[in-house]
Amino acid sequence: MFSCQMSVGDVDGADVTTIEGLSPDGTHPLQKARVAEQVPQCGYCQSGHIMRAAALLSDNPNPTRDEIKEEMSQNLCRCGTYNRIFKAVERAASQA
Amino acid sequence: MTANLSRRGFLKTAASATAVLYVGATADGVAVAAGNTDAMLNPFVKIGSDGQVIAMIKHFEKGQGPATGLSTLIAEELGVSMDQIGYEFAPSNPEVYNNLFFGPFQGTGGSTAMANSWMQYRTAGANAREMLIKAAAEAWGVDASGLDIQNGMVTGAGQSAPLGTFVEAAASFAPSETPRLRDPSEWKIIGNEATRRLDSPIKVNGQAQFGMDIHLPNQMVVMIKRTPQRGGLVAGFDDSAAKEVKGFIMAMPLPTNHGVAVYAENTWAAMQARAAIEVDWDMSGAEARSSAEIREGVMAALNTAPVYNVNKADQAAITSAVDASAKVLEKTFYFPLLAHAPMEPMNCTIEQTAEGDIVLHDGAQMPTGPHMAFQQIFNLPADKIHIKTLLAGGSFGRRATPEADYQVEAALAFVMTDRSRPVKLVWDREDDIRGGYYRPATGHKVRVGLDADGNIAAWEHQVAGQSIMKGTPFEAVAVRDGIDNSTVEGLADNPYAIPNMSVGLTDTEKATSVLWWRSVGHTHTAYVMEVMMDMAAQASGRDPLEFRLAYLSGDDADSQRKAGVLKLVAEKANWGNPAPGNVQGLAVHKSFGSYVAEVVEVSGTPEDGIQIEKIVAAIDCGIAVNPDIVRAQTEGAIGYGIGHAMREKITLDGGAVEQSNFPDYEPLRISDIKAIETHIVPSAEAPTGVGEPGTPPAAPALANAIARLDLRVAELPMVEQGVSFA
Repeated sequence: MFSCQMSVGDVDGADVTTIEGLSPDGTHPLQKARVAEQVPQCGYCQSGHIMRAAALLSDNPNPTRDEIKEEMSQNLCRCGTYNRIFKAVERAASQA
Repeated sequence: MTANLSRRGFLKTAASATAVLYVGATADGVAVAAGNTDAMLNPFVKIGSDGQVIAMIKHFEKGQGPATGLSTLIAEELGVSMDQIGYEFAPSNPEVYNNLFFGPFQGTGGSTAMANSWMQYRTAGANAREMLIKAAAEAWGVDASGLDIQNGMVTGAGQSAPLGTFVEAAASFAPSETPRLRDPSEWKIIGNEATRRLDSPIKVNGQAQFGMDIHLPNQMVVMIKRTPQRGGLVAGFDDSAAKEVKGFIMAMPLPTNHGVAVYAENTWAAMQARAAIEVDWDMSGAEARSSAEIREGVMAALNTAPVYNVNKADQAAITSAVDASAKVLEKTFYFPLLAHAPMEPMNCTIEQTAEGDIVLHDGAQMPTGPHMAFQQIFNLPADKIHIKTLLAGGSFGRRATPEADYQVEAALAFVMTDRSRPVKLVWDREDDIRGGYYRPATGHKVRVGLDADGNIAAWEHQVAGQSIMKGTPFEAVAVRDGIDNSTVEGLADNPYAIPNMSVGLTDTEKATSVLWWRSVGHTHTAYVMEVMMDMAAQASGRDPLEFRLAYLSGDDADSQRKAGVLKLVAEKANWGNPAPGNVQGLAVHKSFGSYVAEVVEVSGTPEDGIQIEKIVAAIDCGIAVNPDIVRAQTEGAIGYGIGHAMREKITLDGGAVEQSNFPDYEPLRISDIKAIETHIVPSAEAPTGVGEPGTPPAAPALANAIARLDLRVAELPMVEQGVSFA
C-alpha cells in the first residue's frame, strides 16, 4: 500500500515494513536485482517500486510479465527505468 | 547543526587519516594545485594516508550519473578500483568548480557534466598518481618511471605498498602542469561494461538523502499560498481559519507579494493551514490568456513575415525556389506547454549557523544562482554562504531557473523570521504543475520543394515561440542579434546537407513562464525536421533511411557520425522488416554534441489503439565513459520524449493552469513501451552529451511509424490528434 495514502492510525497494531526494513544489509533479492540491473537513476521513486515488487513476490513468487506489468503499473518513474524494473523483478523472482 | 562544508567537512571526512593529499585543478582544467595544508580547501580529489580516496563532484546528481562518471575518471587515472573510491558533492565555488562550458558559473545542464569535466578530472587523477609515485620512488630509491599504481597499490622495482603510505610525502611536491594521462589502451574502468553506479546501493535501501529528506532539529516547514494566475499579487489575506490548525505558526506575504508564506511545525500542518487561508489577489498584471489564445498568437506569427532571419538566407529567393518546385510539401506544427514534473517536487532548507553563516541544503542544479542571490538577500559575502548539495529526485531542467526561483522563495521566507529556526520550503505536486515553469508553446511552418527526381530543391522554415532566454540574466550571452538560439537549435545547424534553406523566427509573448525542458529547442525542432524528412521521402517514393543518408554523404565528421548512427540503428532494428502486422518509424538528430537515431516499431491502429512494441536506439556520444549509464540515460530520454508526445500538455484557462497532478498530467507508464534497447557507436572522440540527446528523435520516430498507418500527426499531444494508445 502507499504510505502517502494511509494514515498511521489505520495501521495501529499491524506490522509495517518500509524500505529501511526490507533487509538488514541491502541483500533482499529485489535490492540485489535492482543493483545488478542498474535500475535506479534519480532513485526518488525506487523505494516505492521495490516495496510494491516485494509485496507482489510475497503473494506470487513467479509472476508472469503481464502480472508484473499489472502490479507495477500502480507506480510511476519519471526517469523511465521501466524496462529495467521488469528485468529486476524477473531476476529477483528467479533467485528468491 | 553547523555548516558541514568546505574545510570542516573535508577534515571530518579525513579524520582517520594522519595526512591528506589534496589535488585540485584550476579553471582551465590543466594546471593544478596540491598540498595537505589549509590552503587547499577545494580539491578535486583527496587521498588520506589511510588510503581513502574521495572524488569531489562539481555537478549535481539527478540520476544522470556524474557521481559515478567523474569518480571513474579519477579512479582510472589514479589507479584504484571503483570499490576503492567514494564521492562527495563539491561545495559552491564558481571559481573552482565552474562548468568549463558556462564560464565562471557552477552548474549542471545542457548535457555537459562529463563533456566539460573530461580532461579536468583525468588531469587531477593523473597528478595525484604522479605525486604518489614520485614519493614512492624517493622512499625506495628507485626510478619513478618503473612504478605504477594499480588497485590502490604503488608497485614496481620489486616493491609494492598501499598508496596511502606515500600521501604525506607526496603532499610536499608541486604538481605538474602536464601529467601523463593514461593511454586508452591502459583503461580498465572507462568504457567497461561492468563498471557499476556508485549510488545504486543507497538508492535501494532507503539511505539516499534527497532535499525532501532533510529534517533539521527545530525546523519549520513553509509552503506558499500561490496565485492561481502567474503574476498575481497579494492584496490582502485572512488567516483566521488557519489559526485553528494544530501546528500552524504564522502566515506572512512574501516581500514580493507573489504569495503568502505559511509557516508550520510540519508539512501536514502547513498544507492544512495553507488551504484554510483566504487571499485577495490583485490580478491586474497577471497572466489571463487561455491556451487557445496562446496558440492563436503563435499561428498568427507564423502567418506573417518572420522578424529574424536566423541563417541570413535570401528568404525571398528561397520562397521563389519552393514555389517553382515540381512538388511542394507544406505543414504547420504546434507544440504545447509542457511541465517538467520531476518526481521530487521543489524544496530546499535554509539555516543560520552560530557564526552567522547561511547554509542552504538543496538538490542544487546551479549553485551559483542561489549563491549570488543569497549574497543580496542576506547582505553577506560569498564565503559566508554555503550550499550543501543533496541528491535530486529528477529535474529535466526544472531545478535550474535563471532567477533561482525556489531557493529565493525560501530565503525570503527565512529572512522574515528571527532565523532561530531552520526553514524548509516544500512545494507539493500541485505547486509544481501549476506554478512552475514550462516548455514554451511553439509553432513551425515549413514548405519543402521537391524537384522532379524527388530531391529537396528548397526548404522554407519559420518558427514562432516564446524565447526562454530573453528577459533573464542569461540573455546577454545566449541571445545574438535578437535570436534566441534555444528556439531554433537543430534547424539551420542540422548536419543534413539541405540546399536553399531559410530559417525565420518570430518571438511570441511569453505565456506564464517558460524554461528549458529536457533537450530544450530540440524537443520541437527535431520533430519538425524528422517529420518533414519523412514526408519528403514518402512523397518521393524513397526509403526514409536511404533518403536521409543521401543528405549525409559528406566526408565531414558531422555527416559521417550522423550517418553512422542511422546505419547502426537500421541494422539493429532490422529496418524495413518489422514483425508481421507492425510498422516502423525512423528519426535521427544531433544535439548536445551527440548523434542519436531511433526506430520505433508499433502494432495496432490509431483508431483501435497503438502499442509501442519496440524502440531501438543508436548513439554516438564520443567515448562512452560508462556504457551502461549511457544506455540507461538514452532509455530514459526516449521514454521522456515518448510519454509527453503521447498524451501530455499544460493548458491555461483564464491564465490558470488546468492540470494539477499525475492523474491529469499523465506521464509515461510501465505498459507504454514493451521493449527498448540502445546500441553505442564505438568512438575515440572526447565525450559529448548523454542526458538529453535521446529525447529529440523519440517523438518523431513514433510519429513517422504512425504515418505508415495513414495518419500524419503535426500537433502534440497525439491523443488529441486521433491517436489512441493500447
